[in-house]
Amino acid sequence: MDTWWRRNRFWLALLLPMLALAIAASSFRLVTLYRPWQWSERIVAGGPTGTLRQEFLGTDDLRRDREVTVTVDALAAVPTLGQDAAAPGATLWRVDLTLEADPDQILDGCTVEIVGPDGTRYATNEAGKVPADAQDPYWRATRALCVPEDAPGPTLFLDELIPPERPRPATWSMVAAAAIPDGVTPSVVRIMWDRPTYLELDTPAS
Amino acid sequence: MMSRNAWLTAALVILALFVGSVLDTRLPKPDPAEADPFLRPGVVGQAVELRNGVVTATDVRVGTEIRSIGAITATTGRWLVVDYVFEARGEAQFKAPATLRLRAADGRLYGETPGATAACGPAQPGIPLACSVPFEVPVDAIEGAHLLVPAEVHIDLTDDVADIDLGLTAERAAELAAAEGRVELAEPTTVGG
Repeated sequence: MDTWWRRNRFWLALLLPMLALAIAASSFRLVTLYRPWQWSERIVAGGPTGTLRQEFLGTDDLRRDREVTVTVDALAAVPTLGQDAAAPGATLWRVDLTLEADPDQILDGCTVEIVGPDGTRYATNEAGKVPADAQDPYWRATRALCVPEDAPGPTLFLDELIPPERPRPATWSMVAAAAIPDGVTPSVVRIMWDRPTYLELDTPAS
Repeated sequence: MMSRNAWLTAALVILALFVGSVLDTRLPKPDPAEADPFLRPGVVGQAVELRNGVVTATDVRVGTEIRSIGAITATTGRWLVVDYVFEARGEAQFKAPATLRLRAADGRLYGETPGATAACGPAQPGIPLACSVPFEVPVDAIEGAHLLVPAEVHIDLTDDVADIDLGLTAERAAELAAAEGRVELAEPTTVGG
């Protein structure tokens, strides 16, 4: 009995791989546009120390390799940090990091985030912060610096690579803080430079 | 040599294509619906959920002058100021005032005057931020106005947009339009938990 299904079995069998191919072909934008511009590539350190490796495109149109090892020394709730405090209903969490990298690595302008147990990412910029001294009219939240202020290493300014005045030490430490709502106990820290790669670190206590 | 049937078939196909193309130009296209934003309706006092946060309009104030970031700005129309609370979800977010719009009942859109207010943000998740956005409008645009708050850059994107009915009935609009005072705009402040 030569049924329709039997006569067309070859094409029917081909339907599934063709469908898969059509979906893969239309993922062009996802792969080349959307994912590279999101924080989509996670490196899980599995402990308080981890190494971020990535290739990135600098503002001078040159591709470079980045390699930096980061250690979370401490993550703890503090009443204030410098001139900053958390807004009412929130607690200031301070994270201490040690970074280790070759002096020729471009590492200024990183982003540090503290992650809550539900995956919420808390920024370490001025979000949710208030002046520690309520009378201070000139207060501006402190910006966390990823590199030593007096020896930041090479930096990119527009399309120009500015060489360092003096070499950056092989290891250095940095401090950042996030205002996190009361009752939330974070235990994960994220650090990132260029999309899409980020490094996810545990805290020493956890 | 083509038969008479073949000529007839060809003529019918061409006629069908012609009718089809005329119909195609007259029928509504599916594309605009596909590119529409996802409107999230709400009213004053109601929390409206967006993809990346929750926005609640809390109050509407009207005056002929505003004081914002230390500067006083007057208008021959009215300043319609909407106070709102924004709470980020997932990660810290930023509501640039230039992305908010006021839509009058007849569809006219009003944007915010550049530089009149500070940006609403960054708002940390779980720490609501109270902000104000002023719109300079003619008196006849107040009645039936809606506030549009996009999740991100613009209200025309295929993305969440809060569409908040400001409850401006004819009486309420007339009452507000009669006010000729100055409206004070505070800097964005966190709402204590």
